[in-house]
Amino acid sequence: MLISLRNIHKTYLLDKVAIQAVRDVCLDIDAGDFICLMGPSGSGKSTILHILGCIEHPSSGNVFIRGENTRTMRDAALSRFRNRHIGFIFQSFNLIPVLNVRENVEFPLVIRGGKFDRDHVESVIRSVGLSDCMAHRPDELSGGQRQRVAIARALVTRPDIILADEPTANLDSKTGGRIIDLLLALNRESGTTFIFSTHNETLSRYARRTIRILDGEIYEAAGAGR
Amino acid sequence: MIYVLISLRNLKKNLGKNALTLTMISFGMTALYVYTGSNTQMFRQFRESVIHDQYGHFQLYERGYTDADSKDALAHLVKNYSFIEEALLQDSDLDFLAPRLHFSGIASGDEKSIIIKGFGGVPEAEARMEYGRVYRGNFLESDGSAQTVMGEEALRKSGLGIGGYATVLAGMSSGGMTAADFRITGTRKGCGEGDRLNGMFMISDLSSVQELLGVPGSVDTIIVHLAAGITADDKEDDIRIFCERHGLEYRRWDELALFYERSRQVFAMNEHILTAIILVISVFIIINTLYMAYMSRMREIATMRAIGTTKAQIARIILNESLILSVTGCTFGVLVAAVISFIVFVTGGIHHPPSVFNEESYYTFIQPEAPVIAAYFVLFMLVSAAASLVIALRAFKFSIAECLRWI
Repeated sequence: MLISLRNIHKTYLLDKVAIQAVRDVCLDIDAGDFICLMGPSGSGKSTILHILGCIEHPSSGNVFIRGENTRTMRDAALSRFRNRHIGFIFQSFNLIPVLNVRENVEFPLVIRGGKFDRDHVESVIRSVGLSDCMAHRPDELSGGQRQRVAIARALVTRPDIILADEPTANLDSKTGGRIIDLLLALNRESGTTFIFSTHNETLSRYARRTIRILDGEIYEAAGAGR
Repeated sequence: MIYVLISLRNLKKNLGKNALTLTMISFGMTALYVYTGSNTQMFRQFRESVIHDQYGHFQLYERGYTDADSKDALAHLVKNYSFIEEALLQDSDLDFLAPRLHFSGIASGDEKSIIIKGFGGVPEAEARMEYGRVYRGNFLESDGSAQTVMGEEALRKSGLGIGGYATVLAGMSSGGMTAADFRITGTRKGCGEGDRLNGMFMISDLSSVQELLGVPGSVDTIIVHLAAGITADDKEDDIRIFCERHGLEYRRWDELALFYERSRQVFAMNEHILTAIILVISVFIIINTLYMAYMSRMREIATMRAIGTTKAQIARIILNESLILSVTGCTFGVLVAAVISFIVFVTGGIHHPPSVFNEESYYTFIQPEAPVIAAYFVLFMLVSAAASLVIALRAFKFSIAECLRWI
């Protein structure tokens, strides 16, 4: 088992009102899976992705990734853990605007410290079809190209899991379809586990498992039971 | 390297916002450079004036002289001055000596008498110091006759005139009284201890005063002037050993000229206050500018954190930006100050009116000491580091997920 969520609850305070974003979620994910978190806006899918990505702690419950309880890790250790095992693809691409394509892609390796394989960086950029744009800054790229850079950045560390929060939401349907095709191809080639969130029914058909979320709860998990 | 790259590019990207911070740091550095530079020059000239015109580098006395009260001063004379003079002048580090014998008493003209305080000195030596400057008439001549230069005010109060004779009545070491006539060759203004004493000032030739007081060959003070380039610190050990060997004691110029140190402290305090104000303003401006810049980049910071950048690495990026700002600002400030210094130099310097110790006005230039400017650089960098720490702590208050939701 690669990921195991156990009785996850997440409560936010909005002013003085407690908002329960996630309620008693239990979820097991195997290595190499391709999962879609489906649900309307505000259903809690982003919060579950953040908890899976160790960038947010649950209010209660435990998160086990590769058998390690991430709730007990200190901040620096958790940063290193994310760097080594988790890749992120964001809805708005979230590239570092002052770095060019190559620098953005190699950034996760640079912060790791020590030397890294530049040929590997270039081959990852080639694999997402951006070998002609290595020196371009994000503002010189189209939306689809930016998302490809974000995918390359997520892939470059050879992580176990890639989390994608509505990766096609800011793209037209044609480009969005190509991005999902790319993610599927990478999943098949590298065996990396992909988990993406969307409220687009069409995209959910690409997934091997679709987990439907409503009001912070999993109410349907096609392909696997809760 | 990537951290420096990100910092540099972000600074360039936000150049408009950072211009205010850079300008503030530059102005601050320019102000400190100019203020410190002109003060340093002014005090350098002041110190040289105090040493060369007034106190010499050292003053030597018979042991016990400085502790004796004025009534016993004549009991602590250097009786073998010519022997001491010969021994001292064998040292090539010494430029010249100015022996003095102080006295007090009454000077009388035809109708009026005034209390006088003065000293006898060697005309050639005194001519190289401030007492060699006369206001009216001439300085003492070395013709062996009893002469005197009086304070302008003393001359007026006594009703005497230049070319006339003042009869001086003084106490002797034996306790009796003695009198002699001194021909008045000139007058001077000021007398080294403020204009108040000008009304009782008198300088005469040494041999006549020795004769008046009945102490031939004796002096009470030997002012030692060192050769150019030799400082009191360089020579103090030799002077101490010499004094121990010959039953003398000594005082350094800075022990005698307490007003110099007090003035320097006042200016140093002003400098510290100015520095503190500039640094405090700088720290607030740096914090404000960078904080605003970072607030607009919270999503970028959160993304970096999400993909594994530690808090320490983020703090390093903020620190780099802050340090680059301060070093650039300081460098620009020094360049502006250097241009101002050059303009002051080519236009002849900053005019200063005469001080209480000098009758002539003087000019100074802007020449700070390199270690002081280096210290300001370091101070600005420390302030920047503190500012970046504040920004980092504020930025880390937000969770990664919270910042990503700001999309």
